Amino acid sequence: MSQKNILLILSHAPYGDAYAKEALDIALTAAAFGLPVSLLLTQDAPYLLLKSQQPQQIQQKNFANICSALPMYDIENIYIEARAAQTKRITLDQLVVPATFVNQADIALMIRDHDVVLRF
Amino acid sequence: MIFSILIYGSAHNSQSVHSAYRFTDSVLRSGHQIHRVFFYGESVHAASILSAPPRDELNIHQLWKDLAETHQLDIVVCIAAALKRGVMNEAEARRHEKASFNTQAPFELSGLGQLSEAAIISDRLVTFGA
Repeated sequence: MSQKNILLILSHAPYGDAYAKEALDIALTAAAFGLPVSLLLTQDAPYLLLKSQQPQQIQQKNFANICSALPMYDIENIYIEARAAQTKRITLDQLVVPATFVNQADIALMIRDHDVVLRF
Repeated sequence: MIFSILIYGSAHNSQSVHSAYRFTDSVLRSGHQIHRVFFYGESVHAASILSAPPRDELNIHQLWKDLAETHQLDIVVCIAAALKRGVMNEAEARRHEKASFNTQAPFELSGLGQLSEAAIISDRLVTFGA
């Protein structure tokens, strides 16, 4: 089997709908299959990585726990749309995992360089 | 060319499942292969045999069932997405001690691994989102 890499582009905030959860489930399964997985968080998705989220107040599971485990699944290519982070005042030290800021040109290259691109 | 299809738009509140159907039909008519169709998220309701739309509207379940049977398609419904939405076959209904079931062949319940495998095997994985 040829090696293919997957880019998951997330744009939804963590708790208002199921998209982030369903996208992360795909990421973890694909990584378990040995596929290189990259995550790109755009629009409201960077909130997924915040250390300070408190979803127990709305009886939801904390994405910080799932996201902090990503490197254990060999998902280390985690990118954040710089413009989204800026407008939300999100800085790298607020996050549960190391991530890299990328601009629109970087994103265009990432989409070109991945075999499978899924948007959630 | 080998295609696989990922659908996660709502079965009844978006065009997604029908667009995916039309695309899949076109792929087959054009002489290409469909390796797998994977229903995820809200699209799993398309697998319900209990869907009963008005007679003058599309029956999206029947369209997929007929297409799958005609072409022997592998149509997989994500088991986790389906079970939490109350879409289950006879075996799962028994396992979860439910009074009834609402999906059956050609729709198969299976895990997300089937999506990863489809991504590996296929030349193109085409997504129909919300």
